[in-house]
Amino acid sequence: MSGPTSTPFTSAYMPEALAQGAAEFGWEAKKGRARQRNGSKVTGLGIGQGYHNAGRSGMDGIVRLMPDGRLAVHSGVGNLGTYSYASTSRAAAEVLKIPWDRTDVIAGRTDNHLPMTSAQDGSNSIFTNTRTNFGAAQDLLAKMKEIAAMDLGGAAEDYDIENERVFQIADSSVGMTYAQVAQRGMELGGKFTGQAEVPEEMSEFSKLSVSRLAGSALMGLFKDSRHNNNPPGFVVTFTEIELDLETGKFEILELVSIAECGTVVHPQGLANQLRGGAVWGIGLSALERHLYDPQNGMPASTGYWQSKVPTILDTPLQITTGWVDLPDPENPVGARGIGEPAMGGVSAALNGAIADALGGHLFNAAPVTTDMIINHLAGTSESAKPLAQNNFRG
Amino acid sequence: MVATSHDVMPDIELYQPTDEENALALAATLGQEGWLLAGGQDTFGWLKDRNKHPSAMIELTRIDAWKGITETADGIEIGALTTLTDIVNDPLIQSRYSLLSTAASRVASPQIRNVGTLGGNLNQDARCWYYRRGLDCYRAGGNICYADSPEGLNREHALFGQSRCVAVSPSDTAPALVALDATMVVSSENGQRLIDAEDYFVGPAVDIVNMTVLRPGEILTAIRLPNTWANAEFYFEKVADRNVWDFALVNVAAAIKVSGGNIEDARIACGAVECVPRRLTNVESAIKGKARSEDTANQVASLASDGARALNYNHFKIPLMENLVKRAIRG
Ligand SMILES: Cc1cc2nc3c(=O)[nH]c(=O)nc-3n(C[C@H](O)[C@H](O)[C@H](O)COP(=O)(O)OP(=O)(O)OC[C@H]3O[C@@H](n4cnc5c(N)ncnc54)[C@H](O)[C@@H]3O)c2cc1C
Ligand code: SF4
Repeated sequence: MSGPTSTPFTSAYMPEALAQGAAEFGWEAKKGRARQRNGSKVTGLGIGQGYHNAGRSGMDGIVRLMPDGRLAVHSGVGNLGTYSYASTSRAAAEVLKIPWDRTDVIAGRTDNHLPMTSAQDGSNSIFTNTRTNFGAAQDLLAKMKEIAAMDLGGAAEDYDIENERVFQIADSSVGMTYAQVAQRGMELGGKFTGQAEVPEEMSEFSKLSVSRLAGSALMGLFKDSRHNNNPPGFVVTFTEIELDLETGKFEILELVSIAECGTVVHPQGLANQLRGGAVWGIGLSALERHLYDPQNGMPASTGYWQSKVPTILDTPLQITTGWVDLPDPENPVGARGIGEPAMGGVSAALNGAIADALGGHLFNAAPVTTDMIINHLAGTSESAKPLAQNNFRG
Repeated sequence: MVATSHDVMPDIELYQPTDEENALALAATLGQEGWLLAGGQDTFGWLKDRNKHPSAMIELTRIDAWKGITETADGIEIGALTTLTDIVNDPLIQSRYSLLSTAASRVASPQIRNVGTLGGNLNQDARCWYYRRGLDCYRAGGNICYADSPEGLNREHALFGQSRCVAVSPSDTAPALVALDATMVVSSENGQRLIDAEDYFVGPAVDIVNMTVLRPGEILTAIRLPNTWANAEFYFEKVADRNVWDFALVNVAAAIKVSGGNIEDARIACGAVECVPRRLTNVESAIKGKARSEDTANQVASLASDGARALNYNHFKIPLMENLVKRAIRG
């Protein structure tokens, strides 16, 4: 076994993200506000960076061109409220230049005959599954051109696609509609319909799905190879808080999160990821905790309300989002993942802002709860033990 | 037999009286066995956790006579079954006793306030997590306190009135009612008892299993607010971990009468620091005759925590309580 290795990033644009965040937040104008007093309140500023490795490879792709000319993208990507099944399927639609409303995402149940897909975790979905859908769509496109060349003459490279037609580049009037190509493929069968030449390396599960679908449409199949290097997901967060020195409570006045996750595929989904991640980060840094009674070994966070997930009134009125939007070279659509990083940036920025308001490098722990802030401010006596949160310190 | 399955409601005989007489008769007959059910926001937690096992329940929400807010000769009367939301939105309470509408608005969450009643909020049980977990502590009739032990997790527990049990009064409305000098109307088949809000709540030295003086067969039917404290200067503030859907770490309710710039009279109470809403009579008398100002506030704030004994993890409540009292006086 070798020891830990250092893997280069596939690409990284942190300086761009920081510059964009500083501009959006107005850092130059605001930085003088740090530690300003306003009655019992004091301002704190924080900047945080969130990172998580954000992409895998080696999964399978299955797409079908149906006899009515519609595209079916088979996907095992789930929907955690992130609409990832849609954003990852979009890669196939774009390769085939087919409108989104003529595309059907076949998902949600294994008996829908799905390809082996990565688990939806670790911020990997967009990177991993655009690779497979892109690859499967390329395979389908090659087969479409091959069929056109077979029937209309010339070689596959003499053909291109537009407006749901495959046509000769030299004379665009010579061509076939997507529906015609699909129907022709079904007549030909064999490799065109998943009845032969199924990629040997595809997983058993994917092969089973292909066998169930065989003959039903013109089919594109893909086994993704492994990528090199580490695709990162980054978020930069800037925040301004006002902390009340009498109550130990603070209000988040401003929060700006900028994503650095390659090309943006689904802007609304990304903005939602950044906002949801922000709420998560607020919980991590200020509220959520797991307590154990060390003497009796009992979990003390009994009940959902005791877990202290942030409520809407614990979050800022507005969470500003943005993104760098520069492509990653190891993903065919340029995308890398974003999920965990959205939490990390906010959590770090908020911890920084709390420490800033209180004038030092403090606590070195999360969450920083009201009692910790008050004890710190009051210089509470030695006999006050810090509550062991999120661990089992006896 | 009480069902033991964890998947269904336990077997409970449910009584749903629609008039006062029936309800009081049921309370008398069932006595200790008849759990009074109002909005259920405290009750259902106990049932869900399978840590209390009432064999019968008397649902009070169908009795209209115990709901609503009415003006009386010497103040207002609030039916105990009035929901917290109705109290928050009531124009009469808002205009004369905004201390109570503000306190009620900070209880729990909108969903809980929509069904939770004032009576239920005042009679809710201790929130000590050891007790709520179903452990056999003093309050549960046992012989030990898990919270006040060398390693007990007692961040939310009491600074005052510790007597074997160190649980606190969890209610946000109770300190407001003590500050407003409310009277509790307690009814039973034998008639009515009128009890000062301050005397309604009891600590463990008096009764370690009940938090109020209410006896089996009795029902809290109304709360009266006297004219004496109408339109005084009010201050309510609650500090909790979260801004909604969370119990107070400390709250403060103050009613202050100011005349010619000076404090003529005041009633101040803090919640979540003792098993009862803690009235701060020493602070009240120290500020009488003084200006309602930052200076006065700073001078007396430390009196608020006089006699406090911190446990393992609740030291922060001492400065927090002092600060909240300071803010209440400063206005
Ligand atoms: C997650 C959560 C958060 C909460 N946060 C807060 C908070 O921040 N502040 C706060 O003050 N409370 C809080 N609560 C408590 C909640 O407000 C009370 O549980 C609610 O007000 C109880 O009212 P209810 O009518 O639903 O009571 P019920 O559950 O019906 O009754 C509660 C208790 O009072 C008794 N009772 C009810 N009515 C009467 C009556 N008329 N006469 C005599 N006894 C009676 C019942 O027998 C029972 O023991 C919270 C509760 C939860 C679950
Ligand atoms: S504080 Fe009271 S309720 Fe909590 S464990 Fe001790 S005796 Fe029981």
